[in-house]
Amino acid sequence: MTRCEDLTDRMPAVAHGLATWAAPDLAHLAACPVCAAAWRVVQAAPRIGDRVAAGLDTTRLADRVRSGLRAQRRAARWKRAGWLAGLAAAAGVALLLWQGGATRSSERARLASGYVLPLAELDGLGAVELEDVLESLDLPFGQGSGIEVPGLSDLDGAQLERLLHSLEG
Amino acid sequence: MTEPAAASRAHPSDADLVQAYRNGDERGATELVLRHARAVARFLAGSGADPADVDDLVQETFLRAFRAVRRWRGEASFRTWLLAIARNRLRDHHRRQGGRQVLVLEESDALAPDDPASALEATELEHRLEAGLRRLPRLQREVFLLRAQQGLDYEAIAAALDTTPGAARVHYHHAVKRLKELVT
Repeated sequence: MTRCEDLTDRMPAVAHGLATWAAPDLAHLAACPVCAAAWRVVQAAPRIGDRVAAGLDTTRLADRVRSGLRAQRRAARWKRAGWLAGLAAAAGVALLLWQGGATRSSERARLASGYVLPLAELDGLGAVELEDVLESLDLPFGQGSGIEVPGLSDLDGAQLERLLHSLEG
Repeated sequence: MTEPAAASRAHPSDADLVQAYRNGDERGATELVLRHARAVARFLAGSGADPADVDDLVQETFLRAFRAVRRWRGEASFRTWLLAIARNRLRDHHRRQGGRQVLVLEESDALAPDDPASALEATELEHRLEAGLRRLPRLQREVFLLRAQQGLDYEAIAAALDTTPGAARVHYHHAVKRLKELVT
């Protein structure tokens, strides 16, 4: 590294007051026009943009930054709320579809019971069949309403067998 | 209370302020803005930002920095990190404006006769230097500003500009050589 390069490297630190020139450095700067010109440039550099920076109202700027940060946080909360609302809506749709399926299932059961098992016929049912009907009243929500018997598709083989027997009287 | 703890409270470091902000204390953000806004503004002005845009660009820089503050882990100083963000903001800003690179100031612009106060405040050398900076390639200009205007070392410059300390040093020397020719 030449002496000129070394001095040019160290110029910013001296210009910022972080270092000082030693006597030989000062002698070189006085004798070397290349380094003297470089020193003039680097010395002036810390003042570049000073006029623009001086016009900056930092207190107002800090207020605006704080407001902006609050707006960002609000936006983030809304975004999260949007996601939650979307999830809730999706869950609602899923629930409706599920209930719809259950309602259709119950409707089938109602139609089946309407034609096949009129209430008057309950008198003709045996204890096992009546137990089945009673059990159907206790089915969980979504697997048939509390007042309807399951649809035919919901019955297992034994139940269907019993139902057929009841038709035959 | 121990003396270092008292000193830390009286003059908290940037890392302390960042931690305070992360913990929800807005005063941390306020203090960081007050501490670094002018340095960011000077860097943007030197990098060729239109003076009328500097205020907004500084604000954008801080908003972007605080939004991503969890990514700052203290490897570089907070100011170096801010300057890197400011540099990217300015590039985006120029891109949005249709590829305009930097505001080229002629010497006659810098010494506008209808702005005597401004002409009095800045020396002729500074005006020529600002005009000369705008004629440098972007990387040379940015390295020169970070080194000579902001006083960063080559390692910090390399981190901010995603280059190597050796490359930063070469850019700095090129910039000084070119500026000497343009200014004198």
